[in-house]
Amino acid sequence: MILYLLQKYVIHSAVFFAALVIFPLGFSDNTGYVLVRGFFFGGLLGAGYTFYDFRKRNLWPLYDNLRVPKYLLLCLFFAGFQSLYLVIKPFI
Amino acid sequence: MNPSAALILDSIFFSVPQLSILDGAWLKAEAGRVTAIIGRNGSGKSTLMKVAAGQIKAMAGITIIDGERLHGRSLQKRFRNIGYLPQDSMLPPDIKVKRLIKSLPDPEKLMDDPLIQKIRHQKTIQLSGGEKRYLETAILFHLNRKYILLDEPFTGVEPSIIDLLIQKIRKEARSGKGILLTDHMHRYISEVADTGYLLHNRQCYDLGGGFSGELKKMGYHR
Repeated sequence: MILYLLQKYVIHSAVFFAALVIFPLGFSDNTGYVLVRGFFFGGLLGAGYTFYDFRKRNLWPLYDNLRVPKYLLLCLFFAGFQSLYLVIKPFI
Repeated sequence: MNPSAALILDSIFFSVPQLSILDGAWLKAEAGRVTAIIGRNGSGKSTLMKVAAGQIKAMAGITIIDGERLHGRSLQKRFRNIGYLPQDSMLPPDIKVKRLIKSLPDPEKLMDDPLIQKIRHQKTIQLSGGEKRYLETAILFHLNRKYILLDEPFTGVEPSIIDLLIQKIRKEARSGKGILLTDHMHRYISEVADTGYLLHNRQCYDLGGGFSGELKKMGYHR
């Protein structure tokens, strides 16, 4: 179920990331800044939306029953999403 | 069995703006017994279950699990001892039953269940309401918690699956687990429960052991 949560988090964050990066890149010379901002706010909005989506679909009780620490996992996923910038930085 | 082994909800107050739902409700679900909560629609049964499972925070009141007093939501402490079946399905719709079960500890044991074997290659969205309910209940019992809270486990479920659920509930209670359940299917509730509470006027009233007769007198079932 952790993988399921990760899968949803990545999808949501990628959508927010794309929205926050594709349009501003056309108007900015500073690619690094736009990407860092995109990863930060994309990851943050992704975590928030994933939490809201799981609450709306009543999925958190399953995670509570399985004793999966949902807040900790979302924080870890957010941190992991930020580190993706370090991975792509050499190619920019 | 330890005489203090019980889940107690003590003086639970809960309200939403302009509506008081629980007003000092008290109940005790003992280990090894099936305790039922009966009440009309909107009487606060599910709210009481959610408070017990830490899904919502009561305005006041405490939960006592085997003598340990829990204030606030305390999810980690609560779910060490309890399993909670919410009224609406808690299963992700786009996941296969097999994958879901594999994420549990000791999945082979659960896979042996004949009904689960039949549905294991399906996605949860393809399951009928009864199959979903059975799967959720089976998962909870498989997790081996001391207290199981079941919010409407029989609603929308065909009689043959209800019979399976009743057998499971009885078996788990015999093994020393405390079951707290609520449903509108009073015939099945009175069949499976050892004791019960009526939730009326925002308070819990102890109906004792032979509560089937009490329910008939009050017009809850014929």
